[in-house]
Amino acid sequence: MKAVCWEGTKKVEVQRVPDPEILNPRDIIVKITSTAICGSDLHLYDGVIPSMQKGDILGHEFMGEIVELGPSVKNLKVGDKVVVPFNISCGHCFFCGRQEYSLCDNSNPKPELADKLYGHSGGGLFGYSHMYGGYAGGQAEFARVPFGDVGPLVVPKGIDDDKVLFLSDIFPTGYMAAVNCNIQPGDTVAVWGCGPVGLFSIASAFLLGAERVIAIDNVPKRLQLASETLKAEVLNYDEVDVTEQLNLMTGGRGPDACIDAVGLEAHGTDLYSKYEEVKMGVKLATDRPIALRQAIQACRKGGTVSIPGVYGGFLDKVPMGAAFAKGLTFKMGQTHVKKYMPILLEHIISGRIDPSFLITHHINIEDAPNAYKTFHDKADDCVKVVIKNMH
Amino acid sequence: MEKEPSVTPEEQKQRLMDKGVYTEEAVTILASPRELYTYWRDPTHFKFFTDQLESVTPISETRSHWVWKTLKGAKTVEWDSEIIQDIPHSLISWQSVEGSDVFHSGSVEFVELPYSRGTMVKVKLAYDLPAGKLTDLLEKMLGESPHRNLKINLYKLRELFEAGEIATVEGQPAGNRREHETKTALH
Repeated sequence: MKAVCWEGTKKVEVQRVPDPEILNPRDIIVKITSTAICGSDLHLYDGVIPSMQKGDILGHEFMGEIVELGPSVKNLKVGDKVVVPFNISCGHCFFCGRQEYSLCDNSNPKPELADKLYGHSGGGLFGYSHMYGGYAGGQAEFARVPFGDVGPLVVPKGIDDDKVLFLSDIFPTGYMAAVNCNIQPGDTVAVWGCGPVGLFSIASAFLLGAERVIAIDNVPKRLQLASETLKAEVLNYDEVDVTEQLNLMTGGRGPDACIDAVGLEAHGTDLYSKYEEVKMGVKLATDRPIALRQAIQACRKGGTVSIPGVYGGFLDKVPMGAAFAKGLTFKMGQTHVKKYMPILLEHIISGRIDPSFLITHHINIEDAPNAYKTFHDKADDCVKVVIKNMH
Repeated sequence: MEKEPSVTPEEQKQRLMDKGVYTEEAVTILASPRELYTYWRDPTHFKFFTDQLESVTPISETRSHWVWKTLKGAKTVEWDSEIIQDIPHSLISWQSVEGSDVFHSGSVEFVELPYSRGTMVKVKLAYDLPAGKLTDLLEKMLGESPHRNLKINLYKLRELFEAGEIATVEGQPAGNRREHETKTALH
């Protein structure tokens, strides 16, 4: 089959590789009909996530048709159309029992590095480094889905892939970010980053009853989607002092909740951010938390900082004093996709939201290497790339 | 079959600590002490969650023959093991029999947690040679980190009990320039 393989920093290739096979009784094989490139794939592309290996098949946002079932899978049938969560969950451990599916105890076959770096390992992820299991991803013609009886969501056959594909990651990720804000009537939510996760955070904050959403970015196309499609107020961080402006807009109180939908490779205009880009470039730092720093500074006293943006290592100059002094709550982590899939499918079917609004590029799998570059450079107004016509 | 406890856990630990290589690890599994004890009590089950094990053959109710792979080369390390303490659903401890090339002793304890939080499985292992010095062969058997091997094996035991299978990526496709596939343990 054809598959998008990681071959090193800023180097992805489409290669012919063997088809996946059932390896465990609870596996299923999915023939992929649509798969997307995620903003977090760009962290892999940039080589800032440790434990990637040449030849790793990328991709963790995919859907398709079941073509083979392992002998233990009884709740699905061949031909079912499924959307697959980016995280792999056994469904039976302590964490899966609490619907904390991304923290699954039993789905990472290579927990040693995360055990060492983080104290404990999270669950396995598709196509997202060996620290997260080294599972082959879904930017390919077929994928093996471990614990296929737990994660995949069967979707109605007639529905357009573009409407449900993002249930695999970015829609639930934006939604969980908003859920983590514990939104109360009248709340103002500020969102750093208007990439796909930021845009879904904005949409979800409104779905969950936010009074106002203020979105922050510097890419015109993204600010336009946030303001015109989603009706958020927007700030361009190249043009204004974000914390000062947020304070003015909220009558000096600050946003009730702040969402960092940027993560470890933030860009900024202040002195720290330039210093950190240099430090990260020469591997003296692993992450640059510019958005997070602003979010903490801007957030109202007693408010919540919600972090769907990915962090990998250690952060310098995080204003813990401000967080403490203002009594902030921090909520973060990989999304418990399976927990939120059913309610979000409901929202899609009922027409309350059509997640396809942010797709800017449909491509064939052969064009994936170019699309990575375009998406990375935010060129050609690129917001979201969907790969189709694999077969 | 139940034997009177002959040593307290503290004495057991002290005895193990005096030896060459000592390692201790704990994992919590959503299963009852009875299920875990019953599974552990049958040595033929170990091949399902212990990569380093070549074979194990029961000799009697309390005695079994263990053959271990080594890190490099074809040689194996083997010994007979005897259960010296057996408290059903609670504790098993064992040691290699008199005259073995390697002195090995170990224990496993099953502690039920309240509010259906599962069972703590606490394992202690020790290895030494009668002469007192670790040979190359024994080092190769234990790998760089016996602690890590034990931990990974206990994770696998948890996977068997909770997920019903052991997570793997061995045999999945990869790009053509893959240099190596990393493994979970050293073997």
